[in-house]
Amino acid sequence: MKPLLGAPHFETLGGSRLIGRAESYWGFKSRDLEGNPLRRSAHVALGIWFSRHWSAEQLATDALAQLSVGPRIEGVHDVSRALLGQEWADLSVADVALLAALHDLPHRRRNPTCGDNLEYIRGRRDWRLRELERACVLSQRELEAALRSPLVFAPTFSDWPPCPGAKPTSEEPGEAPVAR
Amino acid sequence: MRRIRGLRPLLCLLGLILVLPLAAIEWLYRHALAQVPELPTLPAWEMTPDEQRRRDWWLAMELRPGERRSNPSGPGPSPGTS
Repeated sequence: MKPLLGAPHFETLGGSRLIGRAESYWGFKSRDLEGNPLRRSAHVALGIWFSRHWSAEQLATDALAQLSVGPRIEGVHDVSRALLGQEWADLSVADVALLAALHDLPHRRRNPTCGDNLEYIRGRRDWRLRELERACVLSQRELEAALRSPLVFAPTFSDWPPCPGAKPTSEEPGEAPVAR
Repeated sequence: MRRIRGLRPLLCLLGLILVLPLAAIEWLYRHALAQVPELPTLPAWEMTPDEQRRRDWWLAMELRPGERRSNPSGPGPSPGTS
């Protein structure tokens, strides 16, 4: 696997997607001096401020620190432990792509036990992996190995959003889905 | 000489035409930013090389193709990368 953006001195432009995420997170979290939600102009200014002051690496670090699944679990360490049953530092590239894919999905698509969501999530993960190959981070062989790896979720994770249209019947967590 | 003297106000006017809109945009930006009482702070997170590597994968997935670029000074391999 090729080293990517690795050296500490290396800084890239923030990137519009990362800036949008940071602006959205911090903008909706902040309140103005009177305690009201920020105006649209302040959101735009915050986005410009991020593009001026934070590098892409800093924005990505911030996004990972804010990553959440459900209302109770925040931060990529807790998320990867709860959702995948592994430490963040031990995740494979396929697992990182899976987290990124889940992070992007609307709520109704996140629960892999609902309908065809598991296949949908796999499709999104695979698309992310192909993006990595296009960015020359993965070789063709590494991509193929990552595409073959199964989607395995921690069996104890029970914070999935309810399936659309389903009535809440039980507090019992569903069986952990595994797609091979 | 007279011609050069006549050019001076024109150049000043052109300079103002260029600078004033930029200054106005900057003022608008600062005015809007002043609504944010506390600017974001970076998370205090000392990453291990393994964590950093995964962060870089994440970053590569988040950047669109046009936003990726290589380091002109040549970063060299970071610790922990193969």
